Amino acid sequence: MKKGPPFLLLVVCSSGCGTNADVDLRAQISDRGTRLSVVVEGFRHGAPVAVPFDDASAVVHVRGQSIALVAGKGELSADFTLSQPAATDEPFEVEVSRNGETTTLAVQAPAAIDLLSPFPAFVPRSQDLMLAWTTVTDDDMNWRIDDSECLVAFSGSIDVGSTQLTIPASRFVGRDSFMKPTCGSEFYLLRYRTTMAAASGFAAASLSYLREIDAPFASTP
Amino acid sequence: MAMSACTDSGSYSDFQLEAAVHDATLSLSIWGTIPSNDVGEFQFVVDAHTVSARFLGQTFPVELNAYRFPPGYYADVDLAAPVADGEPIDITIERGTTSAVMTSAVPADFTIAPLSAQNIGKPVDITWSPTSDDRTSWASSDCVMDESDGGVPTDAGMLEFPPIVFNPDNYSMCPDTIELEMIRSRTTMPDTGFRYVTFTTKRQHTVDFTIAP
Repeated sequence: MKKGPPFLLLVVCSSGCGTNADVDLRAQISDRGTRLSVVVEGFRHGAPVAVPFDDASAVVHVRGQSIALVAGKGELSADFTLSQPAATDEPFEVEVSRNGETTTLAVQAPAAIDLLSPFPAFVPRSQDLMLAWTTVTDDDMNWRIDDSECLVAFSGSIDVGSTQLTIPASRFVGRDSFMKPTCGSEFYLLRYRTTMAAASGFAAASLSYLREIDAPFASTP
Repeated sequence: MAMSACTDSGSYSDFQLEAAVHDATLSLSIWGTIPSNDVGEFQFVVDAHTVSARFLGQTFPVELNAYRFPPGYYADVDLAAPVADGEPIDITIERGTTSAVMTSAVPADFTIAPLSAQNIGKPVDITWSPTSDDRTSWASSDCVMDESDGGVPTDAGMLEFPPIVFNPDNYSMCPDTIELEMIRSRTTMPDTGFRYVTFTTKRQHTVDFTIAP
């Protein structure tokens, strides 16, 4: 029997081809009123899957519409606008395809954060800041304040089911060498929920929905 | 065709574009960065082939100014006519093999009510109209270069500055005019062949006032 010529098939996989089993798939929907963004990333042993995110593709489904995510910078992403803000428990799906497998991730939007009064335009570093909202949920919440010219960044979490937040004055740390006693900063309040895919070819697959309020303000002495 | 090094490619460039209409002047600021190594350092883009803007039917070049910080492309243009709400502005950048025309729109104009003389230790109230969904912020400086700024969480057409913002300690030695600038802005992130672009357009108006003892 005549043998064929020996040959060597060399396959170079720069970012792990052929399997999803060692990839942790993480998708997140970020909601700022009517402006939404979706990001899908992959992690292998805690490190982001190399750029670009292989041959993956993804689509988000909402209100009967399908929006394709665009690949780039190690992620798939899309920005879109809803005509009306997402309702509490409104369903969203993100469908991710990679290496011939498709995983569908589903999440329901948590309730919007309804502050009882508008965020203040001026926040003294010398006083406690108190915020309150109406809707009680079992979803996780946290907050953060960005670094700025007169204020050191800080953050914290909120007890599940709480309807108020008090940030003590002691947490507001002014910068020692700041040139501006009063400066612009940004406050973020977030409510989110995460669902895990029950069955998936990935090592793990999750979809988070993040409601976010961002409020620019001036930090004063 | 020879392939240029990564840092020569426009697709590795990040750009920040700003177009501010301040009364009768349009100010353009365009600067960008490129990664210089794998640990996140960057260098400023100073070798774009073309940076130009088109506004109110005219195209004008935006010149490199390596002495400003950040080094970038800047222009100030006197405007002969009022700028309509939503007036489009195009900025064209060519770098390496990448070229893009990025378009945004100028936020709606607004009018600030005149401020009378204020009193030390009292809040300073400012009102403007109409309101907008665009982002609103303010910045001020006084004669001893004491500067401050801040954002407005919700544009209600009014803002009450607590007395501490316009530092009372300055007035005894320096009772001159305080300049207060109100800024309305919007930022978009256009899809381009460049890696990452933010395009901010602004309307700005300045009011002067004094604070009497």
